[in-house]
Amino acid sequence: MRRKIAIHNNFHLILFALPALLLIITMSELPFLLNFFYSFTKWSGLAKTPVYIGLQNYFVTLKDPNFLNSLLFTFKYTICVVILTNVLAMALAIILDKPLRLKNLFRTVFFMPNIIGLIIIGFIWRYIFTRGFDAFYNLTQLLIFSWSWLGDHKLAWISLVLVAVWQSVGYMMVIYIAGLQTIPQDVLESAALEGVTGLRMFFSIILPLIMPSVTICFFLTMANNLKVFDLVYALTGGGPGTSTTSISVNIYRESFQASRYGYGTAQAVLFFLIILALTLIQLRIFKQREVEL
Amino acid sequence: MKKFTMVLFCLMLLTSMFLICEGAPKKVTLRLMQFKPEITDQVHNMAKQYNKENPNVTMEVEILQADYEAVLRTKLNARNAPDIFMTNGYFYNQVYLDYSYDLTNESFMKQIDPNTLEAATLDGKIYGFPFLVESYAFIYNKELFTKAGITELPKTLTQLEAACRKLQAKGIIPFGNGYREGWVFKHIFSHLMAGDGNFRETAEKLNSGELKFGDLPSAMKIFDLLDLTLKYGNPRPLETDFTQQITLLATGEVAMIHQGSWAEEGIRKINPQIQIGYLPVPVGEDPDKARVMVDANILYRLNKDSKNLNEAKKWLEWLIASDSGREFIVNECKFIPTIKGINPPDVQLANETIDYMFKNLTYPWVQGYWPASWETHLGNLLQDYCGGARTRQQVIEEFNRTWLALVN
Repeated sequence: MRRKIAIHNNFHLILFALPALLLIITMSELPFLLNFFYSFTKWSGLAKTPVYIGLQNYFVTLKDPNFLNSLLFTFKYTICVVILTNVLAMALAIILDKPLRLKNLFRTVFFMPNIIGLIIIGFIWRYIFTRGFDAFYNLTQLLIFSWSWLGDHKLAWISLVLVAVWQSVGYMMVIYIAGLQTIPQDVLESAALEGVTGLRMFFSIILPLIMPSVTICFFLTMANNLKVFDLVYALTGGGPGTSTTSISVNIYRESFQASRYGYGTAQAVLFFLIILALTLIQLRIFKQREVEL
Repeated sequence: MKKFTMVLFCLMLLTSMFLICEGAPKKVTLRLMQFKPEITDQVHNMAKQYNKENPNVTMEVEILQADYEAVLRTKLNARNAPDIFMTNGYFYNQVYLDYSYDLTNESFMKQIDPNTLEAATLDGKIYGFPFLVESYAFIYNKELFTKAGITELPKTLTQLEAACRKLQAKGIIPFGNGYREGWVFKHIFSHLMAGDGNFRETAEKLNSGELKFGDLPSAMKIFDLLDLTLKYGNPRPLETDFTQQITLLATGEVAMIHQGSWAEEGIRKINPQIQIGYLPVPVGEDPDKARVMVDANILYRLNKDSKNLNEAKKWLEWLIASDSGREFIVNECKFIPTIKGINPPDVQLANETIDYMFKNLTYPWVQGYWPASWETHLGNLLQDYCGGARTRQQVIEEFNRTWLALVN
C-alpha cells in the first residue's frame, strides 16, 4: 500500500519534470551523443553523407600541434584564473563580511560584472585596452599604457586572465560570504578566547569550516574556465597567431571555419574526457578536506 | 426550405472564394541570405523594388558577416536552406556542389562577361552569378604622396622603402597595418604567390609535395614586405582591426593601407574629400610583378532543391537583364558589374581598377587554388611572425606542414 503511494507521488514528480527533461534530452544530450558518432567520420559539415574513417581523427588530433598548444594555453589560463579568482574572492568576502558601513554597496559593485554577458565584457575591455589605454597614456605618460595588451604574444593571455578574474570574482565572493555566515559565532568566540588570531584563525578555524564553499567555487571556476570561449572570441579572437586559442576556440575553428566537422568533434570528445577526469579528481580531493562540526 | 437556401448560399460563397484564390498568382516568399553588410540598406531597397515590380513575390533578406558560413551551413543541414545564397567561388564550388543550381544553360548568363566567370566555374559548368568585380592592393592617399614629393609610384621593395622615408620625413606614418585581422594576410600573401605565376600548377605541385614553399622565390618575399610595413607602420599593428585601419587612412594619419574595393565606402563616410588610389604591391625587385588583384569571386547561388527555384531564376534574370537590377548593382551598390556592355560606377577605386585592367596589370585571386581554410593557418603564422613569436624558417616549415595536412 505504502509502495503504491510512493509510485503515485513519484509519477507526479516525473510528470512535472518531463517538459524540462524532454528539452534537455533533445537539445543537449542527443547532440552530445551524435558528437561521438561524427567523431569517427570525415565530414565537412555540409556534404550529405559523412564518411566513416574509424579512429583516424583521434590519431591526427594527438599529433596536431595546434590542438596541443591550445590545450597547454587552456591549462595555463585556467590555473591562473582559478587561483587568482578564489584568493581574491575569499579576501573580499572576509573584508565585506565585517560590519562595514558601505558593505552592501561594495558587494553590489563587485558582483556587477557578473550580470553582463561575457561577449559584451569582451568588447568593452577590447575598447578599454585599445582606445582607453591610448587616452590614459596621453594623460599620464605611463609606459604600461603604451604596451600592446592585446597584440603582444606575451601580454595577450595576461589581459584575458585579468578580465576573467574581474568578471567572476563577484560571484565567488557571494558564495564565500554565504559560507562565512554559516560559521557559528560561538566557535569563533571560543577560539578568540583561547588566543587564536589573524592567519592562524583563518587557516585553522575558518577555512576548514567553509570548505564546502571552497569546493563549489573551485569546481565552478575550473569547469567554466576550461571551457572558455566567448571571452577569448570577443577579446583577442584567439590571437595574435594562436597564442590565446583555447580548446573551445580551436574546436570552433576546425569545425566551422575550416569545415573539418568530423575532426572538430573528435577534439570535442577528447576535451570532454579531459574535463570529466579533472573535475572528478578535483571534487574527490576537496571533498576529503571538508569537516563537520 | 429556408434551411436549404441557406446551405446553398453558403456553398456558393465557398466556391466563389476558391475561384478567387485560383485566379490570383501564387504568393511566394523568396529567401536570400548573404554577407557584405556594407550594402545592407541597398539590398533591402532592392528587395522592396522587386516586390513593387512583382507583387506576388516577397523577398526575405538576411545579412550576416562574422559567422555567415557557420549559419549558412547549419541552415543547409537543417533542410531550412534559403532560396538564394551568397558564397565565394573557386574552391567553394566544390563545397556547395550538392546545393548549387547549374546555371550553365540559362540564357541570361550569356550576358555575363566570360572573363569574370573563372571563379564560378567547376569542370566547365557555371554554379553561380558573379555579382561584382572586386580588387585589392595598397590603397594610398594621393594628397599625402604629393605632399611628400613622390611623383612616381614605387614598383619594387627598394623604391617602396625610399617612398616611406620621404613620407616619414614629412611626419606621416607610411603604413596603417590591420594585422589583427587574419584575412589581411591572405590578401597580402596572394600578391606574392601570384608573382610566382602558373597559379593552378603551383598549387597542384604544392599539393603533391613536389614543390615546397621555400622554393617559391616571389612568395618568400613576404617576410621582407612584412618587415618593411612593420618598420614604417602604425604602433600596435596586431591590435588594429579593419575599422581602425580605414579610420587611420581616412583621417590622414597614415598614407597607405592594404585593403580592397570594399573599404572605399567606409573611408568616404569618414572623409568625403579624400583622394585615393591603388598602389600595386611590389613583389621583390621585379617591377613587372607589381600588380593589383582583381577578380569576381563573390557569387549568388540558387539553391537547386528550392521549392521556388523558378521564382529564384526569375529574380536572377531580373538582376542581370532588367534596368532596375542593373541600377541596383552599379548605382546603388557602386560595384563594378560583370555584365557586358554597362558602364562601371564613378568611384575612385573602381576607376583605378579598370585602369589597371586595361593596362593588363592585374592578377586573379590565386587563393582560390589554396586548400580549404589554409588561409586561417597562414593568418595565424604570419601574426606570429609579426609578433616575433616565430622565425622565418619556422613559419616556412609550418606553411608546408599545414598545407599538406589539409590536402591529405
